[in-house]
Amino acid sequence: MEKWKAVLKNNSDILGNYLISVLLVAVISIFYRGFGSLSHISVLLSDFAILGFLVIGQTFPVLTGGIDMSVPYMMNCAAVVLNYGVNTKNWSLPAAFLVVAAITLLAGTVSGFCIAWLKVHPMIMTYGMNSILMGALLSWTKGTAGGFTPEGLTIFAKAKIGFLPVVTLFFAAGILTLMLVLKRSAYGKRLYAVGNCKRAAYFSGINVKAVTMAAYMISAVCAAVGGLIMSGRVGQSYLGMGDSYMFITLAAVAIGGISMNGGKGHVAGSASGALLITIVLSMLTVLKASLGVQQLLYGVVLLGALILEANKIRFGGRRKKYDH
Amino acid sequence: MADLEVKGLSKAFGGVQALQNVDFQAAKGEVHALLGENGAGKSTLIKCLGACQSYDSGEICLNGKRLTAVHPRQAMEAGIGIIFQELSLIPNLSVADNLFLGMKLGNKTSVTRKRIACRRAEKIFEEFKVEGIDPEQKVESLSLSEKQTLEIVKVLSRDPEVVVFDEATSALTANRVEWLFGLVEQLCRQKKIIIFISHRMGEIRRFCSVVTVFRNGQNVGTRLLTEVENDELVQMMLGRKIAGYYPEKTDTCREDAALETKDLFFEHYLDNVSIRLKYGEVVGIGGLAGQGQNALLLALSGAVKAQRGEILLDGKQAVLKNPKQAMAKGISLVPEERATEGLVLELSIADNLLLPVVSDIARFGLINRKKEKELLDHAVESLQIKVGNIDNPVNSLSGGNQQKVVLAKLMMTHPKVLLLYDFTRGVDVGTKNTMFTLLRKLAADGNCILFYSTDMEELVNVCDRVLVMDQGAVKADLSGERLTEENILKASIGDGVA
Amino acid sequence: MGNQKNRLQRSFSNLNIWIPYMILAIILIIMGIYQPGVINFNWLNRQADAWVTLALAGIGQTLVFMIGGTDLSVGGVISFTNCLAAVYMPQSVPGILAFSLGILLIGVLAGAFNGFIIVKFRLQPFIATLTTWAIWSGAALCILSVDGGKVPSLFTKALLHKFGSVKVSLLLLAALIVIGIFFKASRLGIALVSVGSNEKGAYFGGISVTRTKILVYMISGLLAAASGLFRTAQVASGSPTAGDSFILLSCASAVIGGCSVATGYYSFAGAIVGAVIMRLLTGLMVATGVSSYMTSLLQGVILILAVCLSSFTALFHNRKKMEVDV
Repeated sequence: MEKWKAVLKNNSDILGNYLISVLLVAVISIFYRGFGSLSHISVLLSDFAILGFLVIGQTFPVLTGGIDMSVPYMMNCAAVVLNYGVNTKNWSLPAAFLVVAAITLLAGTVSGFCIAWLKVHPMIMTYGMNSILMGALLSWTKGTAGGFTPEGLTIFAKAKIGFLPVVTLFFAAGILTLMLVLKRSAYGKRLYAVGNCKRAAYFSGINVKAVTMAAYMISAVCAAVGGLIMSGRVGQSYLGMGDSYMFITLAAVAIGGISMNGGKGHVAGSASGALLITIVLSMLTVLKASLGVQQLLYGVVLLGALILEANKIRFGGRRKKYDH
Repeated sequence: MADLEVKGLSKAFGGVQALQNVDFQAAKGEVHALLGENGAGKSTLIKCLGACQSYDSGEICLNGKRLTAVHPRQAMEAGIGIIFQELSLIPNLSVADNLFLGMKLGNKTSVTRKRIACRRAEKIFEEFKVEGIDPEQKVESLSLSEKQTLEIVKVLSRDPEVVVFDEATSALTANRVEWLFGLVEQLCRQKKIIIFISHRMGEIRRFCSVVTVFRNGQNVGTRLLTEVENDELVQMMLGRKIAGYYPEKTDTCREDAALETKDLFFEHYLDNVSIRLKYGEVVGIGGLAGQGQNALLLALSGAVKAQRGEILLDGKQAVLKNPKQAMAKGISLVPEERATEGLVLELSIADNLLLPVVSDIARFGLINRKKEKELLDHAVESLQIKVGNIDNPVNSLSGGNQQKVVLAKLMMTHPKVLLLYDFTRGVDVGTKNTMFTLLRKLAADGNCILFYSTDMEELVNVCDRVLVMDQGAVKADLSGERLTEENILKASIGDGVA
Repeated sequence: MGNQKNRLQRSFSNLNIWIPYMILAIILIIMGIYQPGVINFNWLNRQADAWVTLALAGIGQTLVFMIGGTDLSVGGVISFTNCLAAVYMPQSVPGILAFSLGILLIGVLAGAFNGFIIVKFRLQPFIATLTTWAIWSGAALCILSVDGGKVPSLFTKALLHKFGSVKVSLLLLAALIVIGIFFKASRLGIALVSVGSNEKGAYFGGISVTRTKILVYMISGLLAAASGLFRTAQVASGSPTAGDSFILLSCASAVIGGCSVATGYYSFAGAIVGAVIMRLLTGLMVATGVSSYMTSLLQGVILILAVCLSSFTALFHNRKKMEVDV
């Protein structure tokens, strides 16, 4: 009991995020009838699953103190390769899945390797990887976007149990798995050590480079899953389908209590950020806010979150000094 | 009224009181020496003087006027020039650019600045009788002695009223020390206030007239150098002996060598170090700070690779690419910085303890709760760590208990060779006792321990044998009767040992 | 022995400085082979317009890199200034002048804000400027949701004017190279290297680290705004996403231009050459018949290779220091 209380207390801002999300839905549905309807909530939940996968992936590089800016084309790549392979190259669906998995893992590994071993700045490396994937994709498909999504995937992406989309349940399972990885696995323990203090981790006999590389691989896989689900929901893949997500994932991660300096926060937190952003996005659409206002708001919100976090640490530090 | 007066200065870092209500006075035309062990508060005092650091209370007055500088530049403008121990030169800039760093130089955006700077630099070098340094050269291509010379010239060329030499002679070659001696005499004649920090007694006797001794952040007394013997100064530096908490030394040394090095070399850090450590032996490393002790421990723990030479473990050559490999082979290091290298402060005590062994207790990547609990219980019990809750973050513990966690963490891997870097710093007496008892017990069990400490008293009372390092080389190997604090001090400051 | 080693090391770092010029020469030679006669003064005049926008942003990025930061907000500032100029610029001569000055001032303020939040709240530069990028490009979208706007013809003419046969852009590039030489010798030019190379040493040496950092971000903002003005004149319309491609490209120009915190080397000319290289790559691919789809792939590869190269230089540099390679 004691333990649960402590967990609740430590994660109060994350709970706050979930609470605000629910409240927002409730408040807006008073003004706009349709917003709170079960069908709309179901739409929100599957949007949440797509963004959520990208965000929990992004969590891992950020936990190491890095960043993954290759999310947009990682997800785009997964969707287009699958559709193009099945439609134009006549691959079987399982084979196409295997190819997608291989490509994303390879891209994640290359990013991770260059960042960990060759000391390339994470942002430049992943931004470069984003543009490499874009170029590779364009030249492979000759600029066509891949076409319609295979039936199997669309059925999965659109399936519902009651009003609950299956993909949301799938996403919940994803959160649980990654939570287990973070909190109860050897890798998770090492990841937090690396994120908080690379030197201390190194002197504790941890292979810092391998841990860092693995984080980028996990992010790549999660982004690919998000891309596939999105392509299944939309029914086709198109170029640039991930472009708007680069910034949103970072904002969600920051709102979800993951420190951009690494080592703090977990996937349940970043998922709460994703939920909040999904709802705010949908709200802005309902309120007919322009893209510009949306982007402006992201910027301001993220900056606010960052400054708050930076100050929290400083206040915390001051308090600690008095304690001793 | 003294010309430079420090009144009631206090400064604390976290829980450690670096300066406690320090009063200090220096007069014009005298060369005032500051003496004290590492961490006694000399450097902190100097940094406060130069406004490189804020202080909690107290005041500093120059010529009766209170100094209010909050940025080093303001202190400089007020006439305080500090020659730092850790060089404040910018390696990527040329000698001339460093010399005039942050200074207005005539026409300030002129391209001819480079030429003007070089010409003025040459003039200054001429004035200070420095030869062999090209103003256009990049500072990083200079030797350590030349860098130190440049640092001295840089500060003196700005004509400060107070000149502080913070161990400015540590890297100078012999003829440069002569040069500096002439310079200091000249400064004396110009009625400057000169403060001189050095660990070398010979230099202090030669350069200075007055000496103030610091211990544990306090001023323990000021003496005229003509009226005080070296023995008395050493006594003042070391303070009253606190005896009784060292465990009894028993000879548990075995015959077979655990760890050997052959001609370990790293430019500027290690100078052909060859040592031989046996099982069951506690070996200390002494010497002034920064004489290659850290480099040696890092090389032995696999964190850095020596440029030449080899490391033998049990008589066989050992390749140690990183600490992980070294740990797997049975060598563990307690690193220098507890907060950034020893522990991940934000993580829980349990997580920290388990870090080196997480793979051993995991099945399919997931940690086995039962094995985890067994290991943790054992660790807490064997080291008597006072923990409220093992899931609390490790920074909720006191310094001593934190260090116990570091040690317990390393003991998880059952090392054969334990390397310790100054691990009793900031640790209370009771904890020290526990740790030393543990060290002797580990040695009795046949482990090999290499222990670096800046505290000579500890070295003498805990170790079977002490190696004294100076400028990257092992200068003395003291054991038995010869193992005394005086001998360690003598060997560290370059005197021969009887 | 020591002397020889020094000379070896120096020639190595010199090599690094010449890399951008060598790459440029190789590209020009290849283009000359595939399309003989195409490279002449007129071509230079035409290309200079495309070069100058990127060169301005690249120089700003170079300076920010040298203090160990990154400025992603250049993208947002370029978009914003572009849209602002395309929508609101008046027709009269004094109006145009005042408006242009106002836009440059906005750039300076944007930079000052970046510097302030980075220094004051100790935010990581790239995440801090990422947020300001979003804010500025959001503001750009608010002004102009799709490409459009109308730019006074006088303004376009002024910035595309030819003095004799030399275009303003070309003159500006030449002027920037000269300004660069002066800047490197100035107090700020030296302070910036010292902050990037040894922040503590610079502080102890009496340099105001805070002021230097904020000033550098201000310069970067100013140059980004200038780049936005040029873009407006060249395209004669505004686009809310005009600046987005500049983020990667400006970083690439800076890195290929040979600036390195480890060695303390940077130059305006190098950044300009870096920008020219990035711009010519597209032309090169057209010339050699590489599909246009490959452009972004090759840009990514070249950027990463260039960064790897500079990190190897840093590794080579650090090998003599006793650093723990985590």
